[in-house]
Amino acid sequence: MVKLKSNDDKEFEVEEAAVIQSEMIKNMIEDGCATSVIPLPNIDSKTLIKVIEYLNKHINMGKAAETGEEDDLKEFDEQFVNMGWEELFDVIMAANYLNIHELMELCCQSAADRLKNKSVRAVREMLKITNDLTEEEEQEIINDAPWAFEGPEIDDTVN
Amino acid sequence: MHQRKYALELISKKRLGAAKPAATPIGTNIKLTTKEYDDHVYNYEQEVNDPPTNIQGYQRLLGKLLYLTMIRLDISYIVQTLRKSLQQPKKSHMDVVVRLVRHIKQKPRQRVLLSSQSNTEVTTYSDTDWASCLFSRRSVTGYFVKLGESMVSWKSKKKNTISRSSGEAEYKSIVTTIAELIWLIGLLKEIGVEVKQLAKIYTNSKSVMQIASNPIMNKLRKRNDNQIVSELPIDTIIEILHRLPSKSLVRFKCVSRSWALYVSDCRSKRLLWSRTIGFFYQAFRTHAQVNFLFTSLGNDNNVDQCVNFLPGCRLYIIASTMGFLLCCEQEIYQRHYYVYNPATRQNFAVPQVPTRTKNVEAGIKIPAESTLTIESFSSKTNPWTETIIVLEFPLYFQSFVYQYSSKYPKSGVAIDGVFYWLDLVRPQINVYDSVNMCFWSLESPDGLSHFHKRSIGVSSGILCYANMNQGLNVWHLKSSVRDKIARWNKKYTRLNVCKAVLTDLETLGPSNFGGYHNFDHDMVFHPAEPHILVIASFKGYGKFLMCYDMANSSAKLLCDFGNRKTFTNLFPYEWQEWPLFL
Repeated sequence: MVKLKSNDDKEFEVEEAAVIQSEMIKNMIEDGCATSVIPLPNIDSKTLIKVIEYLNKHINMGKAAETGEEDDLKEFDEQFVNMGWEELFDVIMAANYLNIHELMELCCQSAADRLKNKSVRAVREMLKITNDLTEEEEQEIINDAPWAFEGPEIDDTVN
Repeated sequence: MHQRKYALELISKKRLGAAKPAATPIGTNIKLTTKEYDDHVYNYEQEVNDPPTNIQGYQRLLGKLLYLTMIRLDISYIVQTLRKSLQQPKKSHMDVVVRLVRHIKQKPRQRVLLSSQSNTEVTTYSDTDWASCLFSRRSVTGYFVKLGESMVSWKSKKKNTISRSSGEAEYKSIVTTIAELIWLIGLLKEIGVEVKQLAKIYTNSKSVMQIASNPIMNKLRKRNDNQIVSELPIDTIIEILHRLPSKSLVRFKCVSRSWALYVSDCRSKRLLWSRTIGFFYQAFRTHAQVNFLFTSLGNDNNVDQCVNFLPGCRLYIIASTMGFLLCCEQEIYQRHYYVYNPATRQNFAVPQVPTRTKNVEAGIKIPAESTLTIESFSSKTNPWTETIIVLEFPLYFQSFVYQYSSKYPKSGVAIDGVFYWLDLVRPQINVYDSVNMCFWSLESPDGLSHFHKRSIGVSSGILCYANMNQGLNVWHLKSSVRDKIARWNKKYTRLNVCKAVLTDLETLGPSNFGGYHNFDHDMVFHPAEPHILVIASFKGYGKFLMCYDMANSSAKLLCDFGNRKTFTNLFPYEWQEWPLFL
């Protein structure tokens, strides 16, 4: 068992088999510096719970494929990324910090999928980005590649 | 709050009442040196031009100015600089002081505004002049603190230690500022003013901002609702953008200035690929990651890892042509097919195959026997079209595939709308012309059948045929692609391939290969250079990939898989000019 401590001083116990999916913690364990609690100063407990949930589910990735639990796992992944933007970015930051490749992949793909067909306005609104381009600059970009701005699939809704 | 009377007295005492007021407190690029410094760096000319000056007068004047810095923020830096030469003032120092007094004359009523309508927001600004003191190379830091609208504290101070980089100096300056800030907030608390908001610190140094915003350092970060994305590291944003198809990518240039930069970063990377040639391979399990291996012209490590993914990771590749990959997703009862462009990240789901037989190979499904139904799919016509052709000869396509090749059947190759497959039993190549909708077969040049390792491929527009029969033999198709009778041109015969490859393995590869070797695994042509063959094989239990140049009979180890992975077929791939859309 490995103990992890979030930045709001809550401790979590995780199985070693699960936690070594994180390259960072794996290295720490290998170097023998994970004997006591591992502090994770930039992950809050809410995000850490999410990450641990993922890690526990994905303990035996290889085994799952053989026993036909693949679909189950896929379903779990789909459910897992079903969260708000802020939460998703928190998980991405955590995955990036802990260096969990598969989780990073999953979340980034999910973020990309959500953005894929959105209009510029919708993206700005969803991610709360302030537009610092002038109208002329914007028009120039549109004129450069008008094909990118038209098409039936472009979705202007924010969700 | 102002010191007008004091300032005016200072001016009249110095008898500068008629002097011209100076707009700035000090001229630009004036570097004051101390006597000590001059002695050290001896300069005769300077000594003549810069004699010592009246020390009492200088000290008196500076004392007065020092008092004035209590209220005049703008002169604090110069007074700080001049203080260093109190012991041995020179003419140049006196000149600066006189100019300073003239500057004070410009606005003797310059004051500190203590606003009546004030909030308790604390703001600080800080900056550093790195190594500005010529004598000691120490940095000078300056800051001021505002409480609401009013300026309450400011300082210009030479640091005690030497900073080796401007970033370090700037960071230390922030530390000084924060120390002042903590003291000030403590004081405010003591006199009963509650500071509710977090104090803001402004600096002009990008590196300091990055150090300071390092998430490991600041644990008690407060989320600002207005900036979700900007909290993400730039790398991560680019990581997400990389997964977008080009159309979205180009559109998102419009989102903001920083996004436009990220997008051009992604795009320039994709452009880099356009001259890249390589091979996709995939480990045996269907959910395993697809890997891209480069054999490109010289620069092997130039392409980023983001190539290595397909939309949804449970796909496997079945064919590759024209810069597109045909991928298949296997479900229990059916297969879904996708066409994917790795360069633009676009994918296109091929509509469901209408009949029950579900093998699609490079867009064509092949049942056997003497009447052949070909269902083809074209992105131009869109729905599947069914062509029934009565064959004059039997064809063998299935079942054998699983024995002799790897798990997934290898698809045919295509040139200009004509598809070629190796017949798995008889020594012939089956051809389907998708433009004229007809079917025929070509004699293979060697008369060898499925007992031997054979391979066809397209390399720079030529159909190449290779076999492994007492060495390697390679033919190129000389007749045009739609000719019914094949004319072959024997290009290479290399008897000692095994030897070349093996010698190379011994020199390059690790020594854990056993004695047994077999070159049967897979063999593909380099997509651009017909004289290069890439051989996937295994020796003992180790799997490796060799690049064999037939022109000069030399072999090169491309990749050593060791015992870790089994890979399925290789797919030669040439990045097309960007952007290429579906």
